[in-house]
Amino acid sequence: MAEIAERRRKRIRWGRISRQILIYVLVIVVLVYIIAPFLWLTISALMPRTELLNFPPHWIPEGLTTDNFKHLFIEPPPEKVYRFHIQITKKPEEYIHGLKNSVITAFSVTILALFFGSLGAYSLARIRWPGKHLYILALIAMRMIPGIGTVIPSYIIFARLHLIDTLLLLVILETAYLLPFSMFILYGVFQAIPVEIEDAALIDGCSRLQTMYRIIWPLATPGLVAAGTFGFLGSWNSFFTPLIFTHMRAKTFPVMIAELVTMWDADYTAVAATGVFASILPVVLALLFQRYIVQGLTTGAVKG
Amino acid sequence: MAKAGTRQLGMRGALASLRDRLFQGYNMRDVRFGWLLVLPVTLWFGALIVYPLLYAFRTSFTNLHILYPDTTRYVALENYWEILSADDYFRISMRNTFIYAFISVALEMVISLGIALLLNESFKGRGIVRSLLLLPWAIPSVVNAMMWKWILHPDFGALNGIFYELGLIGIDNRINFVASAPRAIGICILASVWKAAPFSTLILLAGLQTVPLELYDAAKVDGCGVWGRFRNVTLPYLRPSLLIALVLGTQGGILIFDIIYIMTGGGPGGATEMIAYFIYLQGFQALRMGYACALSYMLGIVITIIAAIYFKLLYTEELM
Repeated sequence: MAEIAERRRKRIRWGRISRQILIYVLVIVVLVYIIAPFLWLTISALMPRTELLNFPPHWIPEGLTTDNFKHLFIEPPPEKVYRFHIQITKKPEEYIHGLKNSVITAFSVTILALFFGSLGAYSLARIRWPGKHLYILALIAMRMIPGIGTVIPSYIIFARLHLIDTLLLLVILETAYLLPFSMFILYGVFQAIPVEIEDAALIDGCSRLQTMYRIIWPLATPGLVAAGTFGFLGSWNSFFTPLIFTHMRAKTFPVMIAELVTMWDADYTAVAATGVFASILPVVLALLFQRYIVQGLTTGAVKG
Repeated sequence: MAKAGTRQLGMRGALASLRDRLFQGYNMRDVRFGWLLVLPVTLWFGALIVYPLLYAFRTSFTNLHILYPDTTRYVALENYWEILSADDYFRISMRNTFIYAFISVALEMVISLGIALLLNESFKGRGIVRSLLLLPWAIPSVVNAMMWKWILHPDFGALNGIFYELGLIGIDNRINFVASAPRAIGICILASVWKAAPFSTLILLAGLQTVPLELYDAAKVDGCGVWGRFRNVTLPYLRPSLLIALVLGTQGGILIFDIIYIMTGGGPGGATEMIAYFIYLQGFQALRMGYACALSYMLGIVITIIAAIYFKLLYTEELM
């Protein structure tokens, strides 16, 4: 009897161990799937051009260099890439200009969306007014509207106002497209804060506005961080809107990256370097605020 | 009685009684403050989303061409008639979009559900793996497309390199991934699934956390196997998250633009010309703005129908 029980226990233990091994193997597969493509782009960005264009690829590069990044921002690369007599290699001034535009836009959009979004979201979460449910439904509907549908008429309207290719237009447009989403996240965040705290403050003689910035905003910090990160990433990564509404002066960094490729080929050293560079900020922000993001994502998404 | 009363008081009285009924039980000071707070965003939406949409609706009945604004005239339903009866490219791009969206959303669901179930198990370093899921989501979509274009490069690409190292291809017959229609659609799916699946995984993981663990034990006692437990315990609780991941994934799939713009440019021979890219070409390359507006309204109708189907299929009471 004891022997059978012992054998059985062993089998269960072996089952558990092999299950654990299977889990680790699968996790490694998932990790490789997620990391390997971007890792390869990073390695490519650190390779000299002569080594980059090789087959089979040098999986482990012989010479690592930061020249590709230097050639983006400090000095122009020695050799320029042409396609059909059109130079697709860009000068450092152009990259710096694009980067400046991207930074200005992303920061302005984040601040505007957070400020006006939290005002609106507070009203939706806390104050009773007729038509509120309809408003929330309209907000959900607005999130479903395809960008291409609003972009074409907006282009006609703002071309008449001579606002195409200005940062001002880019900022107000990106904010408008992001606001429904950030309002929704903040709406969920404000709803999760207990009303009692606020009522106590109101009874103590605080005005509505005072309770908002003394009580609600401090308590909602994680949510505000999440919504802010979404806003920043949304604007920094945005491609379609700046592609349509900017041509020269207000051109953003992602649009410049897209210009490094023609239908047939591309300047791949610059592609890899700009790609890695443009990803640093969003990836760092995402990893830094990951807890808030996942929280905000789930409250925002599950409610939507 | 109330009806007779309003008739006697006339128009102004009717409005007043309507207002009273509307605001019954509301604190007027609060209402005014609440409206004041949503006023800025409402103006913003009104000016930049609602007004353009109405403008597009009007434009969709004209032949507005951005280079010849003087010849603009009202053409009634001509644009819509052309889309439905004469435009082969519309039909092709719609078909391409459906093929692409169906396959990529299906793959996305299978992959993200698999990863979510795996990451719901306990193992060392689970937190790190979960946060790494944010990597594909965080990188710009332009960079994603460029990265895959480089990995799939016909001469120097890493995927050809891996095939070569595995002995699957020789050095002289490297694969040109954009040369044939199925392959070109395949690489677009590959690139978009890589970016979108980790995001759905996060949504599904959040859904998995709502499953009460006692139910698994109860199901085990009732003699449910692994599949039975998944079907009867996990799936019902996962439904809301699945619906959200599905809706977001489908929306992203139907509106795919960046990847097409960068990786294939609609080629080869229109095989990867998807609807958003087609509308973009009509509006900003052919400059037929009126026609493009009509096209985007057709797209809006399609999206609404799909959303309605999803909600009909998956909507349950506990969702909202």
